[in-house]
Amino acid sequence: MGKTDDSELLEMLRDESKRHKAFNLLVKDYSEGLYWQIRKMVLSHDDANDVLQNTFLKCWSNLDQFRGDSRISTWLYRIAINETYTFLNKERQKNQAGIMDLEDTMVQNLQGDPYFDGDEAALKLQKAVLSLPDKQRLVFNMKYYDEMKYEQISELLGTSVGALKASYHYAVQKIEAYMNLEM
Amino acid sequence: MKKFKLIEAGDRSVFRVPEDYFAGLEMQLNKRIDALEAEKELEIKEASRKKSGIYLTMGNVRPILYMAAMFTLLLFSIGLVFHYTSGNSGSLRAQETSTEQSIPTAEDYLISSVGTYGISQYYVESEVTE
Repeated sequence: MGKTDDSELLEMLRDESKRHKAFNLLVKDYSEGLYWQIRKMVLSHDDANDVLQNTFLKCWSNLDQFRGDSRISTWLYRIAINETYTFLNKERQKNQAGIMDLEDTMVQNLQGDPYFDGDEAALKLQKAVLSLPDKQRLVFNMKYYDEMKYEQISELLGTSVGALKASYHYAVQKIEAYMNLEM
Repeated sequence: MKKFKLIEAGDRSVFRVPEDYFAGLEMQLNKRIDALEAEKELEIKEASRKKSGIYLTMGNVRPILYMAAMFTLLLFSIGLVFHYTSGNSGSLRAQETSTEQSIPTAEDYLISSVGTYGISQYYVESEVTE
């Protein structure tokens, strides 16, 4: 069954008596896509669950303010991206007093994670990807793992296609250099 | 040694999700939203209670009491001044008090009947209706 039409959803969201039903449709249509976007950034399932729920709660609290200027999916993804950045920044601050930096902590946690199926090589690749700045990592994930078109990524992030291409190109170079150094 | 090439990295799906996670997500979210809405409603009720003037703290009652006390003192002073400067001598006043019943003035009524609390209530209510 396909996603609910944007115009239909918008109409339901504007009607207070149908708003809750519209919200449940949003969850049904977009939760999986959003979850994987978040998961690839935060790595742990529990953290991804927290960020995803915060995303939807923020969506609920701001339904009144959504005017339909952009697609609902774009609006939701932008909230998810902001919530992800907020989460990572908070974790970085919490981790400041620790011996390891956040990225090392995240990789170490991944080793014992029951929901991570990768081998040693996959773990090393995750470490390499984690060495990228957050925004570049996001672009890399969207292009490499999700195989999204640059135009789609540009709409979500508000960055030009040219800048995205350059960012992805440098991300690939950095990762390959990191992996070859570690070998 | 063979150089690492990202394009040859192989399987990209290394993350798994717990079984039935997405199926249970809607219910979890609805519970949280219900709690959020209940909290919002409580905040609105609290805000409207404060606005109606029933919600009084020492912080906002103290100045009202001070004003009421000052007003009472002022009225009492005015009453005293009028009483002693009415043009009569002390003996005449003594005659009046012994032979006639004193007629209470408006000030006497305010001080004795309404009292300080009543005056303070007047200011509370007048603030609410402004």
